[in-house]
Amino acid sequence: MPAAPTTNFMKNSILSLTLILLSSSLFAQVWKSSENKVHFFSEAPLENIEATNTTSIALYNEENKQLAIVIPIKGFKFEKELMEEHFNENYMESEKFKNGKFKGTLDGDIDFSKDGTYETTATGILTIHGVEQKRTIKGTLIVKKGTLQMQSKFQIKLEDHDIEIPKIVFSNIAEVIDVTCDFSFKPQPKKK
Amino acid sequence: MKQLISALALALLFAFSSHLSAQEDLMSMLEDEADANDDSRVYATFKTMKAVNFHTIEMVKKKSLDFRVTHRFGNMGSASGGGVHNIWGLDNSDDIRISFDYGITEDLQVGFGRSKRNELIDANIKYRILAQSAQKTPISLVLLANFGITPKRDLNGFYSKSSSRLNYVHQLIIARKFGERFSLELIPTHVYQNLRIKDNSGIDQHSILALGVAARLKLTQRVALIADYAYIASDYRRSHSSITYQDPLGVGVEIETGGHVFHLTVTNASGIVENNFLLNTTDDWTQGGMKLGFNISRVFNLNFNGKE
Repeated sequence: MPAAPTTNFMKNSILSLTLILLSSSLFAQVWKSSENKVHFFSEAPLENIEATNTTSIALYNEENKQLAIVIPIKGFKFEKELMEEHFNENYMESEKFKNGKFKGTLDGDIDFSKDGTYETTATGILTIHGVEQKRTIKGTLIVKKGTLQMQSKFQIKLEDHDIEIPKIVFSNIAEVIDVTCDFSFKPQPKKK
Repeated sequence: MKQLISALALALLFAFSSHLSAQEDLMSMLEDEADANDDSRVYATFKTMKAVNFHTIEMVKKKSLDFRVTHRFGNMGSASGGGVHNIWGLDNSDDIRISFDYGITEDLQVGFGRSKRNELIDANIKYRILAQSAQKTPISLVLLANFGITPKRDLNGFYSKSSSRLNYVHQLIIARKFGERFSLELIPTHVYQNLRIKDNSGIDQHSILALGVAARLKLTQRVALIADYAYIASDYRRSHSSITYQDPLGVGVEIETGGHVFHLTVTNASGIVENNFLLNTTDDWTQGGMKLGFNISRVFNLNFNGKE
């Protein structure tokens, strides 16, 4: 290609433009969950039902404020094995609907470079038992020495997610379940 | 110039598209990762420790006690003693068994039972060697040993030696759950009886081999079909001249009512315990020799663990 004086300028501008585009994604941090705990509790007249899950994965992208959480249903551990089997087989159908999911955005502006505790909300789609619900969920965000922690306590109505409880064991299970989440994040080195 | 512009366009496109697709794929990426991490045990290959006649790989959960009453009515068909006058066998009971099974660990169970048939008292131990998991383990393997003793009165001189009252069943249960609806198991079985009967068809064997097969098909959240069958590899039985020994075949409906698994079955098996029905099934489906059966079971959780 014949080298005209303008093309050099063009070349440089392309280079810088590409660099700017790339760097913008380099500066914005992506956070990935390390330690995590999702717990649910339901008080019932006969026996309380609770389980803990430490197998979830979450990603938060600072740049577009997107938050994605995947909670494998089979990862919920119960005190009683039989309860765990019923939970998976009969109520959650965990073979068919493997994961509980949340996909949304974090509301408000949070300075992730500054240590502090922020009360905030996340708005998005909560998918449980294959049924999507638009939710705004309150939570606490803790930024501390380059780590990020998200805590949240919210309720799930079984009816909202088509989780059927047979009438015969109805007294056994509350219709509303309390969920507590605690996710610790670490900065994720960007691939590509 | 043209090339430069297209290069620029390409660069821009690439930069944007990588952003866009990253957002869309984020969720599926996370889900793939969760799948890759998951090697949990497969749940509910069968729903309870028995199919129709045979044991399944399932056990009573850890520190739980399963109390059950298993009942088999009499033969349905009039050619086999049923018919309208005893409401197709409902007035009779082929066998009744009361049993207790306890889960010592997740993979070890002991059981004890008493049957009407042969007044058999049996004690069994069940141990899981392998459990099918989401990825790494394709099958489940369970060993079962059942020891039986007959305390019947010795009317015919069969039990002049008290060891003649004993019999043993050993099984290796190989099972796999295919998808969420269908489960299948193969049950290579060895039966040993001390008492051998000699008659015009020859002499019975001490050791008898059998191959059982059992299946479960889940229809809805709470209802499943169950079936099992066994081929008894015993020359004495298969070629007996006066007694027509049969292979046990059972079908049933399994209804789950939350904490209770109810079975409604039809089988030609004579007896509820393997030690009885593998050796002594003579009722014939084609002659109306099948009987209605059911079981009720109540699981008591004994896992207090300091808490109430």
